Amino acid sequence: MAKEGALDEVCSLFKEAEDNLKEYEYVDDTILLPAVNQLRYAGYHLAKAYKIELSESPGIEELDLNITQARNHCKRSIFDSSEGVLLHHLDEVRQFQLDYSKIAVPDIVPDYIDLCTQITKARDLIREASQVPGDTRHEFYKKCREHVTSLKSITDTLSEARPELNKKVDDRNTSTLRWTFGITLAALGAFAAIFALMVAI
Amino acid sequence: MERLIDAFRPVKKPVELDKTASAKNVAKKLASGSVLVGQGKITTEAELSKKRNTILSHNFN
Repeated sequence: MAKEGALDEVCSLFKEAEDNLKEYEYVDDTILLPAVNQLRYAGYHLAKAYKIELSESPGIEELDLNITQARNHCKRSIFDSSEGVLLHHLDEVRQFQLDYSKIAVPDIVPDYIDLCTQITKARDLIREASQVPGDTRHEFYKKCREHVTSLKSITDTLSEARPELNKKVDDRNTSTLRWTFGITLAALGAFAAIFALMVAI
Repeated sequence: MERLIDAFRPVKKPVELDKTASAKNVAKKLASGSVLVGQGKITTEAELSKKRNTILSHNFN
C-alpha cells in the first residue's frame, strides 16, 4: 500500500499548484499551458500508481517512483505558475522604470533603492532557475513563491506612487517647455537686434 | 484503467477550437493528443521564454 504521508503531500501540492494556476490566470488573463501540462503529468503518474496499487503483486519501488514523479511534477507546476506571475510583476516594474526613467523616483518612494534590491534578487532567481536542467527546476518552487509575495507588494507600492510621479513628469515637461520657449525668444531677440543694427549701418 | 492513464498523457500541441468543426473532427484532435482551446487565451512555453528573456536583459538598478 502506498505510504499515506506521501500521497497526502502530493494531494496538498496538487491543490497548491491549482491555486497557483488560478493566480496566474487572474493576473495575466491567460492559461499557462506548461504548468497545466505539468499537472497532467502528475495525474498520469498518480493513475499509474493507482494501477500498481490495485495489481495483485504491487511493485513497491515502481509505486514509490510514480508517487515521487507525481510530487515533482506538482512542484514543477507550482514553479512554472509562480515564475509566470513573477515575470508578470517584473514586467510591470520594467514598464514603471521606463515610464519614469527621467524622474528621481526616491523623492516619492523613499525606500525605492531597497525595493530595487529585492526586485533584482527575484530577477536573479529566474536567471538561476533557467540555467539548471528542466528536470531539477521544481526545486526552486518555494523560493519562487516567496518572491511572488514580495513582488506583489512592491508593484502595489509603485502603482500607488504613479499619480505623484505623473505630477513630477508634468512639472518637468512644463519647465522644459518654458526653457525652450525662453531660449527661442532670446534667439529671436538677438537675431532681431543684429538685423536692426545691420539696417542702421 | 489504461484509459484513465491515457487521459492524463501529457500533450503539447494547442489547437484553436473551430466552432464549426464536426464532433468527429474534435474527437480526432482529442485522440491525437492536442489541447483544444476555446475562447480563452493561452500562454505557451515560447511566449513565456520570450517574456523571460525580456526580463533577464533589463537592468533593474
